[in-house]
Amino acid sequence: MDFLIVARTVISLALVSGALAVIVSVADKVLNNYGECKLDINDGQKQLTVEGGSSLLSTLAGQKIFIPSACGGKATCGLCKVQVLSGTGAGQVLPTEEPYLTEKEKADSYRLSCQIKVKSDMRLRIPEELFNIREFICELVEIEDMTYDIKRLRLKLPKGDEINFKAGQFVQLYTKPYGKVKEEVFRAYSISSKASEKDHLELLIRLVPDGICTTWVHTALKEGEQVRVSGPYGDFFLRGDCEELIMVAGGSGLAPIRSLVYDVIEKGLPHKMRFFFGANTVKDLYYLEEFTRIEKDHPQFSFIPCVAKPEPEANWQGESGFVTVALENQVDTGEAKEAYLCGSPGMLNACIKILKSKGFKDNTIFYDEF
Amino acid sequence: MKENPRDALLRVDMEAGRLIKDGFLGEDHRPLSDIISQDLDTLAGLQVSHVELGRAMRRLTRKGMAAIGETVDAGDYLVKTEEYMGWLGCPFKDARRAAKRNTLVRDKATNKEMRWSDLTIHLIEEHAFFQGKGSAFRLEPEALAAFLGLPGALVPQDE
Amino acid sequence: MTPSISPWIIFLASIITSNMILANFLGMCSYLSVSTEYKTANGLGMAVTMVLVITSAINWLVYTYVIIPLDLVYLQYIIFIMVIAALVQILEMGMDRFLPDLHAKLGIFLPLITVNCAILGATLFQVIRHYGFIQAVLFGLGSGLGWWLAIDMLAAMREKLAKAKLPPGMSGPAIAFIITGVVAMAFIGFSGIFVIQ
Repeated sequence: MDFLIVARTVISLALVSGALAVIVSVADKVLNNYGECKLDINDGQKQLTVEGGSSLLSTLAGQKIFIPSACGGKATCGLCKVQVLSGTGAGQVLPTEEPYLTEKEKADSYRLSCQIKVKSDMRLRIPEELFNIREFICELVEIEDMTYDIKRLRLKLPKGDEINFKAGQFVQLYTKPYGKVKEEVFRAYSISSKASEKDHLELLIRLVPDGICTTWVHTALKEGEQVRVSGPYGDFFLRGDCEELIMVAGGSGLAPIRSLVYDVIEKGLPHKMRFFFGANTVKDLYYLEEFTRIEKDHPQFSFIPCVAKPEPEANWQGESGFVTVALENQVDTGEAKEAYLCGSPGMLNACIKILKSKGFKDNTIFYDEF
Repeated sequence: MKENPRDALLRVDMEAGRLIKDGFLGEDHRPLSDIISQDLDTLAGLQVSHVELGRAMRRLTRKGMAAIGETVDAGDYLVKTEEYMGWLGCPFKDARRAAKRNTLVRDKATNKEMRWSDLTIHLIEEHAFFQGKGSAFRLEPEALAAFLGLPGALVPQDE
Repeated sequence: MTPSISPWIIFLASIITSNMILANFLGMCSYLSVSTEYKTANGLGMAVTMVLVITSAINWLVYTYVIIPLDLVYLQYIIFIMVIAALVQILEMGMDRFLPDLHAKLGIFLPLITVNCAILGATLFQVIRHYGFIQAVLFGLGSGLGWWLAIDMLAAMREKLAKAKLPPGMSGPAIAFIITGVVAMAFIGFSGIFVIQ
């Protein structure tokens, strides 16, 4: 074979591909480099310069501004709404955002921050209280089995650090990769510890079949490990514009209720409280002694545990049946009352129906869905 | 067949560790549209639609919801539902979400059991997606149809 | 050497009488796999048209000012493919940056188009037929529009057929091929208008 032809071929191809590679790299640098984008928040209250290219939610989190999200940025919770006043990079409202934005919100430029990318300078409006939200690298000091599928985590904040939260709010817990799970995910869990205890956090986590975070907590997490959380988030906290609080929870939904109960007691608030705790079987109950003790020490608080189908050998003496039965029988009207509910969608629906039939209004029923 | 780029995007969130721990695809490496169309072919052979299957599953789950956590007698079946807090988004990005509700159904006559979640019902009813082969939550169309007794006598279109 | 055919005739011919898919059967792979849903097919058609116009133009320039002067004609296939690949990359980046809404709709298709043989096919046709620049660009535009037309037709028909009862084994690629063949035969009827091959 003529050596010159081979040489010419190789050299020409090398040059052409080299030239093209250079052109593509240059284009990449010029075009993909959204470069630095300026984010102006709340008309100059905060001004940040960030690297463009990621979602607004994660970009802000990288700047330690935490926008609430319960679904990990997958557009299924609708909590991460932010007003985007200008910023062409955001584009038009995406189909994934549609179900979570009302017409008024769209008119007011609300967007789901987990769905839009930072591509240009932007002007944003973020509720002030979100600036309170911080990230903490905590130490897991205790992990205890409360029932066969619920674990209590006790997290210690870094030395000198404090978390200021309202009883009822939640934190986001970030998992570490394990098994087949390659990336970090985060999920929302209500704080079950007292709001007055600012250097520790307790969470109640129930194992969900095929759940990423709950499986991590129940199988991989060990005492002494470092755990990242951010918070506090959420609109589920005490309003108290009433005489009595009706609280209903099932499973790990007990967490925010426990925090609320202690809050009322520690602050010396006058509200009467009735806590209906629903469980399927007796072995699903926990914190029984604690709440019975609170009931004894504080007459303003009543504890009504309800077991749907008690095992005969457990000799259950308390209320039987689904928690809605006790709710129906023991609550007469919604007058001067507020309801705080935390549980699964089925339980929430059933309870809300009953409460509304008793005269509770939409603005006196508060619930925590996750 | 090359995978449709839209499906390739959807596939990302169906892998293990994205939405749920083990994902929706199991060991299946076929393109998403192939998984769905092959299951649809099976259903066509059985003369039952995925919508009918979804409706029947939902009907049973509703009966179980009358007493969450307890076993309910639903005619030919015993049904028990369990619920957990929170929602799961549909991986097909149609902005629908399902409660974390698992239904366990036992056929009184054969003593066979099947389980499904609310999301499974939605995936079958709306997307004809029975999940990839090797997924722990895959329901084989023939087995499901036989279990539910479909095609069977006409059922009222109450949904 | 440049044929003295009006560019507009070339444009029309590439849509109707020598349609990329229906007459030349190029670009079948993505045509068959993406034509199950009308919306997606429409998106891909748009993307293919855009890529065809741009690559026709750029490849003409590459052929005229790089390949011929440097006597690299025997390497033209490889060079064209490399140019197409680089072009599609840059196009995707540009769209993401300057036309984000369009990118949200079409962006995912672009990598698929790089290997679409209709793209290389259009370039090679214009080389073989010694088209001039305007002719090449309009040829690219017409080829794209013709491809778009064909995939839209097939997608519309397949969506309708999805609800129909087909004999077992016919659904999917089988019926798609049959439909394409029938439509191709129908399009042969146009060949009386003008013959550009």
